[in-house]
Amino acid sequence: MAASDIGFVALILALVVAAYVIFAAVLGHRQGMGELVASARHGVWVVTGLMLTTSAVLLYSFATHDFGVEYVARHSSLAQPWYFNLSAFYGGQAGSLLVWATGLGVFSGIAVWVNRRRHPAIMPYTMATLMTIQLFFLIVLVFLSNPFDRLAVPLADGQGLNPLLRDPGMLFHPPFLLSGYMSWSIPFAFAMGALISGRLDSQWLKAARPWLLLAWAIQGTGLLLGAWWAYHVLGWGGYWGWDPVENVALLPWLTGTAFLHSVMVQERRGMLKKWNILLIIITFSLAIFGTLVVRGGLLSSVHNFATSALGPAFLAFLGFVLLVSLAFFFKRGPLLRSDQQFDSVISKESAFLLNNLLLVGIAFATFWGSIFPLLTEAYDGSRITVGAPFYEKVNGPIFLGLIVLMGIGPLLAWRKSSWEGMKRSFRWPLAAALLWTVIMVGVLDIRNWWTLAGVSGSTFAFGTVVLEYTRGVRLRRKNTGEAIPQALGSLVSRNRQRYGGYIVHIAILLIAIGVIGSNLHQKEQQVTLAPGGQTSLGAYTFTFRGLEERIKPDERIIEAEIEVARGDKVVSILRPRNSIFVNFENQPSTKIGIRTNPVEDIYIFLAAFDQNVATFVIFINPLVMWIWIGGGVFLFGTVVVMWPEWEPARAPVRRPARGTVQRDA
Amino acid sequence: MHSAMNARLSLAALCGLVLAAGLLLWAAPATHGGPETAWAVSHEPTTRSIGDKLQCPVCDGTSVSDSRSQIAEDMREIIRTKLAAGESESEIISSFVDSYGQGVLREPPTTGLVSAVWYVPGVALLFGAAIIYGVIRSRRQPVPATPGRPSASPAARKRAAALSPSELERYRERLRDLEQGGP
Repeated sequence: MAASDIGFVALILALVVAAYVIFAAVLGHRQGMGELVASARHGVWVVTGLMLTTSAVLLYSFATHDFGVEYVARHSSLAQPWYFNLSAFYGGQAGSLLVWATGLGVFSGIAVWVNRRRHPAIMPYTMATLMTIQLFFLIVLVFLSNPFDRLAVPLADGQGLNPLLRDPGMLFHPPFLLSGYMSWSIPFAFAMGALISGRLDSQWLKAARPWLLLAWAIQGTGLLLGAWWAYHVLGWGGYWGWDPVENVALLPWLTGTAFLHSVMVQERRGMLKKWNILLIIITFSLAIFGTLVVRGGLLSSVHNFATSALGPAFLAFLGFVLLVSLAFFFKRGPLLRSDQQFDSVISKESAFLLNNLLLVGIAFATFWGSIFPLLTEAYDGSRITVGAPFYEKVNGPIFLGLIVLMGIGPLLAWRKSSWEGMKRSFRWPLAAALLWTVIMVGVLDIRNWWTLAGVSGSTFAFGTVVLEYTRGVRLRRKNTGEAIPQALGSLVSRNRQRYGGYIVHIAILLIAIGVIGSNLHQKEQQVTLAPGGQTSLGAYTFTFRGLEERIKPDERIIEAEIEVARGDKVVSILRPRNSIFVNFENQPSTKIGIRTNPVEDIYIFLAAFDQNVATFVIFINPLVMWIWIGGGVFLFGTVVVMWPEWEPARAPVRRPARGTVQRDA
Repeated sequence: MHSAMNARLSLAALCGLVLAAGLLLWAAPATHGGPETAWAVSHEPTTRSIGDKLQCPVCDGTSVSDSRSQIAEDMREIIRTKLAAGESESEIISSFVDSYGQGVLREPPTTGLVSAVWYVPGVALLFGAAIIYGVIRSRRQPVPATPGRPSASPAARKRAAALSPSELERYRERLRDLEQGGP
């Protein structure tokens, strides 16, 4: 028996235990058998352990170059550096699904552990939901896409990773995206627990909230890393192509963002309960849809490195998820009535509703555009393309609306806003936006309407955040006499959700500025140069110094050297290059030469070359750096929101077990 | 009354600002006009601008301009030749549609059944807006006094009416602070 067989055995055991947990949790709860529910809980942790074992075995197979395992032979090789041999774990289909399933095992284990003494009515169904998802993935892994399949004759050396994936960005992007999709399972399971048990008060929301934020942060990070990778590897001067695989990854993030906003209305006013449950169901379904598109190859795209017969299985599971969750949704409808009513059209509640409309609107347009070619093909066989221009035209204006709303919403009061208060509030942000518009037109000489509207809108929204912070700090100082830094610190720590959320708003605005600059003001030139040849673009002169060839064990590198000068001053030496990997000679991979600063990126792609000349595509991309800075701020803001509250009262008090299910091991 | 007058005043101020901004925009090109910043973007068709509108047939998701595949390179060459021969942008694009089908267009057509791709998101958005408006309006009946929501007594209303706007605002801020978990 080979080591890899242990992994397969662990998969089968996990499958059996997951099935047992579903049965034990539901039966135990219904019959009031606390022991059975406790054993289900232990079962979840056994699944966690088994999934970790399986992944460890696959990692071990990669580390020991066990080319008897087909998956290892196809995605790694002796010459490939060790980190790519390990990242080959998720370089193919079976491994990607294993990452998903292992992540779910670990998250389920933690979620069940954290809530082991809480929510006795909800948790059994939450566990059953989690393990149903787990069971589906295990069935797929065991029967359809087994990473431990062995070759009849082991190979002497493996094939190696797809060249496009041999990039540092690819070390992190796929696991983040897969975990992002996966982690929506946890809030979904809490929602299902609440729906099935009928305990639809705010308890499940409290339990689901940190997981929702986590899923949202992971998915957002995955998207940003994907953009980073595309920008640094693909060589077309952009970072987001509205490619179907990118689109489906954006969908759950958008609906999740909508949920994070509308849930505040439920927490505060006890309204929108139905809508919030529906949003969670939609978000999780979109996460499964995303996995289906990426791994099942539903929509073709540059990202589909794996094609398979998985599609039907995922589609069936998606149908099952929708059917069951919507059935319970309608069954529990009467329990989801609002506690209160809307008082006024001009209120924070309305702003949140509008926010939801726009976010879900973008998600819908993106979904619609992505599946539309499938519809026309099914209808009359005609193939049409829905490319980037469609999404830019349709989603661009909605995004602009969202940015303006980002400036308005925070300043509106709950229930009803008075004209008096609004006027006071909007004075400064509006003045800031207007001033900046005048500067852009008069000094920076910008004439693009979209740029003016987008940047002015962002300035307005930024002004709102600054105003909210200054108001809060001033108030605290008046009440407590703290110095400004302390006042700021205690303001944020006393209301992380609100002020951390504003930090995320700033992040989104920074990203918006970067997107506007690089999308609407990009300069581009394609040029073929002999060594010593020169060209100029924007304020820069480019001199091609020559090509250099280097040979490594698993790749041949051809590197060009280009001197970038501004006036007489040499700004930078850039070295765009091509890599040709062993076994993938017809698929050269590229590395872009980039000089970045806060104003603009110089981006040079080596498109073609021979002995005498080389062809370059040179881009000048304004403000791209702000997208990555915005990404950092996004993470920071999310951490502020998620940072656990100190609960000193919890530790000393240990209440006696209440009811049967609370008995714990 | 007081607030209504203020409302009119600030509306006038806002209109003034918008007007001023508009004037600035209108006046600016005269002083800063250059080919790159010209108002109406003069659209001379280029290989790039046409290639941006065409989908590379073999590489999913990238345009003819952005793709580095051989077929995209050939298509760019065809565009260059045709441009040099004096063909217009629409002539060149329709010649590609003739040989590759409608799928070669990155932007789906706006005519025929296929135009649904364009208007369905707009219709959906309007539909959603109508639902939201309906929800907010339909629930605007006077809210009955419920426990935990004491309605103000006539005496309290009288006291409240006697407060000056700045006093009221102070109370509001204090309330806001309490809601934020302040001292």
